[in-house]
Amino acid sequence: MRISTHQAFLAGLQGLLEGQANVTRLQEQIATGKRVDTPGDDPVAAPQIIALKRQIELINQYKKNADTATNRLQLEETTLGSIENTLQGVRQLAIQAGDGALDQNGREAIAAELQQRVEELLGLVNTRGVDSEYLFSGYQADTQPFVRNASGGFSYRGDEGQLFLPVATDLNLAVNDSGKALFMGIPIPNDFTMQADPGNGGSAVAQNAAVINQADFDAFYPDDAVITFSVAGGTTTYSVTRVSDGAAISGGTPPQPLTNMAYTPGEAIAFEGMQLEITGTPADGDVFTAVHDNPQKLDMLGIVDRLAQGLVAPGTSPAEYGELISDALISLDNVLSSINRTVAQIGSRLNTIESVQEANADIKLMSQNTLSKVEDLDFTEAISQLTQGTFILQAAQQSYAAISNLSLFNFIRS
Amino acid sequence: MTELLNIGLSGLNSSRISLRVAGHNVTNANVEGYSRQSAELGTRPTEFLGGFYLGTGVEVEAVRRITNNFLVAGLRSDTSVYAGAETLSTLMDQLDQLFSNSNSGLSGNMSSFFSSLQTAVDNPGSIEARQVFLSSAEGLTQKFNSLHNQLLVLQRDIGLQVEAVAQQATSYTREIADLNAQIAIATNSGSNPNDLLDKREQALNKLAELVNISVIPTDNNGVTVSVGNGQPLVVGTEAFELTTLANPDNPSQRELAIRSVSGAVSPVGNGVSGGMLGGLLSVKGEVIDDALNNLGRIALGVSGSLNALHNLGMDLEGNLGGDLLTDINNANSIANRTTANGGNSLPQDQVVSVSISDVNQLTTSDYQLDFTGANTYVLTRVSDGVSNAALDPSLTGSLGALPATVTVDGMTITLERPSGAFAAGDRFLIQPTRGFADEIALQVDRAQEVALASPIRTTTNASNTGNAAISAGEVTDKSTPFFAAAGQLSPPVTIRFTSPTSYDILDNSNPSAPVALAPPQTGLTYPPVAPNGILPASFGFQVDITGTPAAGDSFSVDYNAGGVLDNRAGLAMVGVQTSSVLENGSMTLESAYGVFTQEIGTRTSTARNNLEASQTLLEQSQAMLQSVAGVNLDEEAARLVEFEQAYNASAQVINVARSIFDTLLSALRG
Repeated sequence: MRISTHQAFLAGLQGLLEGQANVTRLQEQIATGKRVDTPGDDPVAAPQIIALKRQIELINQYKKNADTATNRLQLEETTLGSIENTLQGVRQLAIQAGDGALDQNGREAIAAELQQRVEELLGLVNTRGVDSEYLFSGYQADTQPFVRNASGGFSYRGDEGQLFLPVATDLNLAVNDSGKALFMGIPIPNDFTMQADPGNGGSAVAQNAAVINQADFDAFYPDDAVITFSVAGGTTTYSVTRVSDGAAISGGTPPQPLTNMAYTPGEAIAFEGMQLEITGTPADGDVFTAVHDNPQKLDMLGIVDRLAQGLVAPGTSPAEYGELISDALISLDNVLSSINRTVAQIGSRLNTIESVQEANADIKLMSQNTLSKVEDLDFTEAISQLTQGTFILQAAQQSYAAISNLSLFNFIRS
Repeated sequence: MTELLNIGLSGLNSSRISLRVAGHNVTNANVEGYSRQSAELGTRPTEFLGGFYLGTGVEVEAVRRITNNFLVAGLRSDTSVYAGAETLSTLMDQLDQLFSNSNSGLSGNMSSFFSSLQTAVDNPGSIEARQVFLSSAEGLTQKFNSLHNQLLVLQRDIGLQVEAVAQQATSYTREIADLNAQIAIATNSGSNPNDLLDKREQALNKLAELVNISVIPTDNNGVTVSVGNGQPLVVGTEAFELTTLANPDNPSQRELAIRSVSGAVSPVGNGVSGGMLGGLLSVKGEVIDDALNNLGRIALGVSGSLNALHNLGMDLEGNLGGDLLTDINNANSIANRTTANGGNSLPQDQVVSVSISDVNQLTTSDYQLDFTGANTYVLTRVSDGVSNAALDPSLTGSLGALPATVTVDGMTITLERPSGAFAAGDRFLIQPTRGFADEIALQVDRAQEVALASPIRTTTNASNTGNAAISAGEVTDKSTPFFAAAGQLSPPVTIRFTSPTSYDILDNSNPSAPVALAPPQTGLTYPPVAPNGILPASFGFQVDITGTPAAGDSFSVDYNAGGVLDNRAGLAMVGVQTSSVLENGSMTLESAYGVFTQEIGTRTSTARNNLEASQTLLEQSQAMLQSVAGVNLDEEAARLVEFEQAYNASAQVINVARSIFDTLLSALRG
């Protein structure tokens, strides 16, 4: 083929320029370590790169959320731990107070210590978090959740709200628990009240009514018992029957049906876990009813407070005192189990966070590996290409220099 | 002897001309577009003398230009293709960088927007976290604005470039017409004006670099040049002017047009391909329009989805949330979505307003609305040319009484005309997504006003004996009377079970004595399977109750006053990041941007590949033409030697003639 001189020069020049461009591009790739800079470099890989990067960012965000959630949950767990410790102390005090040998001074000392514990608990349930938000007031983190009422007792001023944080796709975890669920509405043991029939003609009154065996009473509950007096021939007797079916109720040791029992004023009458005394002179047909109280609930602070006040209340019969201690112990166990339930939930939330974190870390690692494969440069290949490119460029330069000197005019000069 | 002298002279002459042609070739070897020439020698007519045909020497018959019209035409078209590909590739590289670079593109802002929202949601009471979120929201809206404006600037620059290129093309058409005239005169005088032909070829090539042309040879070595679908640019000695013309459908856009000698201007239409103009126009129209629409749709997606949720939230000060970002249906945006054709019937009081009814159904296309009669229309989606019933079965093509509405592809078009009905020929360009990337802005300026909480909360009555539990509740519509007064639920309600399977909803303004609502909501049946949504939808808020309630159990719903550690609305907003809110539920906001940058990437990569391919083709056709028409200096050197020798030989012939003449003279002298 015929070659024009201009074309020969151009072709040589073109080779040089292409060689340079190739070497420069490779050099740039090696310097950045990236094979794909913009989608234009590899439109097939680009959407994958974008998706992987978004995935990694999302996982980083979940990691941050999980850290925040862990911090909050651990603070709550620690606070609940302290409350639990304090309650165990209260429980010990209640057991001490149940010691029959304790005199009035001893009771007063325990009551004073219990009041201290109430203050301690009040401080703990009003704990604030890092942003000085109250831990246990639900959504209303700026509102102190527990306050002592002027009229006695405590009230909860927060709500039932829970804060949820996303720790993985479609997984929102609660990171707090409301004080209402934790410390309010603790069931306290069943109790009963003695009612004298308004039509009673005698002077007898019922007093010192107390539950002396909670298990027996709970089995009887919510039935009511009727004590009916009959006076015949100067002898006063009473019978105890169940309201539900009118059947006779057994009592005493050994148990026998309490039917036409001889009445001694002030003597303890015990049946179905209940004990009461009737004093005075009942008339024939007088009726006293042991009416069950509806299930009662109380808050944690109220339970401790009631115990403290009950210890020093004047005129408490031994049976009532026993019931006070027994009720306090059962109520405290209920509080503790409410707290333990939540602590267990916190533990399982923390476990969930941990396992989700592990899964997320795995996904992140995989995504990063894939991203690196798709986006990053294969250095071995790039460097060998660079070596080859440099070699070709050098060859082009040398051949250009050699060829450009060739001209017939060099030889026909005279 | 004179014959010999004449023969020698003819040799001298032709050798001198040949040497001159070779010299011309040597000196023009590096002139672009030069075709080598060669002097064609021929034998002079013979004389019949004394029974013999005797030669009379040599003569130059022609100085010929060596070229190949087929290769010339090939080079011209390859030049067009290459120039087009080069322009396109440069512009696409620019766009590719603009959108995909982590600093200049949107993805960085988008992910920091959502991650700062997430941080604020993690700590709903923290002013700092909210402040950071507002800053990144501002950053996101500004990025939308700046990308939009960069595209507009690019579009305007390309427009200016189109005008400049059109002017340059016009100057080439004038040059070609002039050369046509000169060549015709020269050709008429009987010889080929080789250098003029080269010059015109060069001008045609320059013109082809600007726009793809077709060249048809005519009489007297003339050419006719046309562009596009055969619109003439040069006819004989007449040159037409390339210019631009406002698009009647969209006066802000200018399109390429031709002004004839008579001054009439007609649009070139879609026939322009190749050349710089082809490259410029394809980016200016298709690519940038598409990019603006894509950006706009993502901006609509961000505003639409987040505003909807933010409006149902409650801020840190206990007020109901407003718009976080610009309302997608604000008056300004609605007005900007329609462009009326300048030639619409008078008075031009037609109002075509477009509001977005469902962002998820929006496409990135423009729409063309044409009236074919007073109440018949054709609505066409520009991207695929589909119209009316084929576009959406609900489009009947005829309107009811004005004002009428047409709903299609997530937008609602309202048509009104105070002066009566529309008229056949009324045209409107509808661009539902075009401008929103420019219009989007942050609407909240105080950190406290970010509505991350939900305005309601639920309470379980402490004395409930059943095991039923109430959900936290959610607000679905804040325009109901329940939310009419600030900072409260009007009235708060309580849900009281009258039996395990039935309940009343009561006004709980006085919690100790709830009263019936107006109208009363009593004796309702409790559906035990969650989510049961036990409040009427008209309330604008909803709760679920699960479990078995006991008669007398009650739950109350109240305003979430003081709810600073509540992030329910925020959680819903965070969810927008991973939910598919665009393209009929197939794309998230970020994946829509990813798909869009990928499209740009694909176009860029294609443009680069086309550039490489067209460069190779151009180099090949240059080489092929050069191998025919280019000067080879070695060849010319050899020719110079050859003609020099011929010249010397011819001179020797004259010398011999002189010598034999001298011999004869001296013989006569004796």
